[in-house]
Amino acid sequence: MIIFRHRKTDEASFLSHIDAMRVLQRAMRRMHAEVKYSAGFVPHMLTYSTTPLPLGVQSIAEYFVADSPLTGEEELLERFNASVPEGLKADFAAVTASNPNLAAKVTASLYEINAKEKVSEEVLSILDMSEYYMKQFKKGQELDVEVRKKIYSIEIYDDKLRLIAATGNENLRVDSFVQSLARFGVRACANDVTRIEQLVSVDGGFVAAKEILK
Amino acid sequence: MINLDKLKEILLTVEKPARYLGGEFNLPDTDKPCEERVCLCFADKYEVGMSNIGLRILYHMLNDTEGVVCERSFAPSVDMAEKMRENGIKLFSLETKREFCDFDIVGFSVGFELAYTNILYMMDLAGIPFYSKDRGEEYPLIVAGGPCMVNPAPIADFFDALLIGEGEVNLAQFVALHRECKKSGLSKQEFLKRAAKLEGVYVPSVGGKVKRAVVKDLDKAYFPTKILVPSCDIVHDRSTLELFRGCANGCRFCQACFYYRPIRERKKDMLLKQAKELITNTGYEELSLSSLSTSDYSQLKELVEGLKEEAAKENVKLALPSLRLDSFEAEIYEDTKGASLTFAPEAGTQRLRDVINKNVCDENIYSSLKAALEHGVKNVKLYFMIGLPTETEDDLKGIVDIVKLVSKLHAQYGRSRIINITVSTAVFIPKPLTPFQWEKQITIDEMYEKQEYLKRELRLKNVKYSWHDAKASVIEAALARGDSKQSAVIRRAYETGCVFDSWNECFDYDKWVAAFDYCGIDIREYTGAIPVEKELAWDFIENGVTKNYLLRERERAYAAQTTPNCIGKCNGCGANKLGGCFS
Repeated sequence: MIIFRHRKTDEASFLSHIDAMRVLQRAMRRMHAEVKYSAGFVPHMLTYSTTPLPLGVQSIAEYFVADSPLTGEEELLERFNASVPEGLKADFAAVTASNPNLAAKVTASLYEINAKEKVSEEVLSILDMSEYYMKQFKKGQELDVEVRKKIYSIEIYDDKLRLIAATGNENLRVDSFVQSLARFGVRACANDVTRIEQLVSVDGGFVAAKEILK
Repeated sequence: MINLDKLKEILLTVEKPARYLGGEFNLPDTDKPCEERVCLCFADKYEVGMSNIGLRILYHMLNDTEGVVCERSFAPSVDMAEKMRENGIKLFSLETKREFCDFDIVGFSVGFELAYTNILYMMDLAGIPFYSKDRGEEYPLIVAGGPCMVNPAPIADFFDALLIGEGEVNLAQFVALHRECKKSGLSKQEFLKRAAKLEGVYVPSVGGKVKRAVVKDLDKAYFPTKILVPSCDIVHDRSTLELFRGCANGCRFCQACFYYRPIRERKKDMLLKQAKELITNTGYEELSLSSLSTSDYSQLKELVEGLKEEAAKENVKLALPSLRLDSFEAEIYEDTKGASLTFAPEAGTQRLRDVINKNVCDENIYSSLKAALEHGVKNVKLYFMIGLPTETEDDLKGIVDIVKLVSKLHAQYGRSRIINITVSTAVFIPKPLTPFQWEKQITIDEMYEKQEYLKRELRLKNVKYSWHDAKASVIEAALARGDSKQSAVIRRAYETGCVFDSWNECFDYDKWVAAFDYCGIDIREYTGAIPVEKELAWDFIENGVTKNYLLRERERAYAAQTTPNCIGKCNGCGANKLGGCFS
């Protein structure tokens, strides 16, 4: 298996998950990655990813896994970056014997929210609340959703808001969350959010997903 | 440059934002130092425009020219246009997000008459006055090219120059001349006077005659193999090889057949080389072949074998287009794992097929369908036209008979257990530069009557019938043979809300009729028969194929006489005078 940690920034942040996957699969072809295909009636390339980002949210820590026999991290990284558009370039590559199943292991993400104005400390009061409701669209309907348990930490760091929130089965829709912060005077949209890392639970704490691939 | 922060905010609220951003793989360097900046526009959505092979060729050709940068712009969806207007964002290029006024040349590729209002839609969003006469030095040159240049009269007033023919020749020369004239400080009008002397360039304010520009040797013509690979889904999302231009068959209703003459082939070895590069450079999972009649390619079998070998190495699927019935090669077809087959007999009886010069006989239809079904084809698509000159009830009945024949052959010889037959009918539109350019189009009532007959008769097991919108066909016909009076109609139609007319859900016939009425123009003037002695709006273009030849073909049509394919023996259409004719 070959694994890449790539970004999804600028124009690429507006690509849907399906579109981004297609771009990456074509990149596999361009880099001659010899990725295996499924054995079904309509064979498809065996590639895997982690929880999709909402449209517009940026990231510097997306993981893409392909069932390829290639080895040599440095060369892989070079070939990958020569085969993807600017907004999807990678900064890390790994080779594993089997599928690391990151989609199941990643339980949280670290996000950075770059608000348009200085963020007031009032926003940190979310951590003192027992419930936190935000508006979220589900199947075309706007619903009030309680998400407090999905918010693990919030801090103000370098004038930016840093958030660790649930990812995976219990996922916090970070685009809806950032809109809900308007009640604290935080002016930001989905494109002002960047996923800095995806996190795996280890011994009651979190480590970056790439650490378990080393 | 537009306000990028505002743009990002509105992109979060519109459908498919990736359409408006560029950033695709194989993007050329648009930040390089340049003396000439061109924006190529396609008057439809991104996913339609990016599927256009002509636009791809010209885009990369200009970007591969030192000192020239070429960018793209497409018609934004209505939701995006609304947001742009609300936020004061003008139409911009995908690459550097520049407004149209920041370019030297803005060129529209016009492929379809029903896209005319979209040109005005894009100009409006860009803040560009519609008429050439209203645009001073502060505006870029607004030019047009593409297949609709066969008769540009209805839209000529909107453009400073019209590039008639193949862009590899006239666009390249036009841009080079403008670059020189800009350096010399010449005014727009002075430049246009000089440009009018270029091959295939028509300047409405100068007038005169123009000869269509063509590439003489396709093997030497520019063809990009490091092409843009769109990140979002588009209509034809695959690599395309262009086998040849022009068509030797001479179907009398077909504009493309005559317009793209002379017939010029690319050599097999050149195509194999291009295929290899395309597969490597794009990562596309499908490679298709483009031409007007692929089965007429002189080395098709050898080419397909070579391509299959190349494609198999990278798990790439080879997609073959519709093959002509008379040269159907089931062997090739089976090898490409085709589960469906597309046939276009166009008319239901031998008599009418002779009239339109569709050189396919009943025996060809029978043997080709039989061979296809024996090879396991389970989806058969049949294309016909209604309202062709001299059509009778028997010809419509003939369509039904062919459909029934497919069912019967399937029952007798079909290897596949199931069969799906899709029948589609288009309405005949008399188009310029065809032997039928003087013919009348049937009325809407007649169209409905014929469609109703087929709906009734094709209520058969495993048969699905679809038909082209009658009203849209009328407007298309009127615009196709339109003249300069129609620019006012197009403007009125746009101003009353007509946009994306080629999209069924957007087309509004009543608004078009009202626009014609408002301008005091009778649509029937353009859809009715035209006397052969009357001067035509497109007579100022020397297209290669001569009027005499078209008239001769028209006479043969009425006598139900066919004209053979011109490969090997020239029929004297006149296109060879433009140079490079294979025939």
